[in-house]
Amino acid sequence: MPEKKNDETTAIRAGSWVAHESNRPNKVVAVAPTYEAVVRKLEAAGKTDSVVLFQVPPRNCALIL
Amino acid sequence: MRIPYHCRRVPVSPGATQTRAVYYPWVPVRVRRDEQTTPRMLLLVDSGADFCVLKSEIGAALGITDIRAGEPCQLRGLGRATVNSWFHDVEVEFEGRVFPSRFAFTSEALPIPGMLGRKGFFDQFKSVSFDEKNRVVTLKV
Repeated sequence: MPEKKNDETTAIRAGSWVAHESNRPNKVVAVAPTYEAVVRKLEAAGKTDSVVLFQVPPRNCALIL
Repeated sequence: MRIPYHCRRVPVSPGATQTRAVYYPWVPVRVRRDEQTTPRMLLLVDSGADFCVLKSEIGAALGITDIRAGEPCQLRGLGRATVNSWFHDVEVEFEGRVFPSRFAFTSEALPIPGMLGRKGFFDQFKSVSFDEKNRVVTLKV
């Protein structure tokens, strides 16, 4: 059975939702594959007001929208 | 308001360990609807977008269980593809200001969570300018 990963070992991939501390972009607080999952983690940790979320865009993807 | 571009590091080529920095004019906003609100999240400031756009999964968290209940809109970019979306009224919180807006929500696979376009975001400011050399977006009220 695959080992269950915790927050600290969750890999950041293209499409991952990442929450970092508001004034410290290098300080990652939570990572999850979906918006709902990362918000759930933040709510559990009581950190929804002290972070900034972003979703990692695909690698080598030029954004022309 | 001067908001520095957001920086992230990407491999110089697929699979490479060496990375380079790329910068995006992403700004932190909260989106609200009724009693629901998102955490602050980085959305792309896009002068080429007519409207503001968000993924439906964020709409669901805001209580929009059926995005198709809104006014339909087809979004187009380069190429022939169209993105089906539906407008819903929301509020945007940005740098201490809260203003009403209207976002197009889509369940189609976008490479980013959403964008802030001219109607519903740019039109809330006297000017929005991009300083590419210094990687700063400036918004004047």
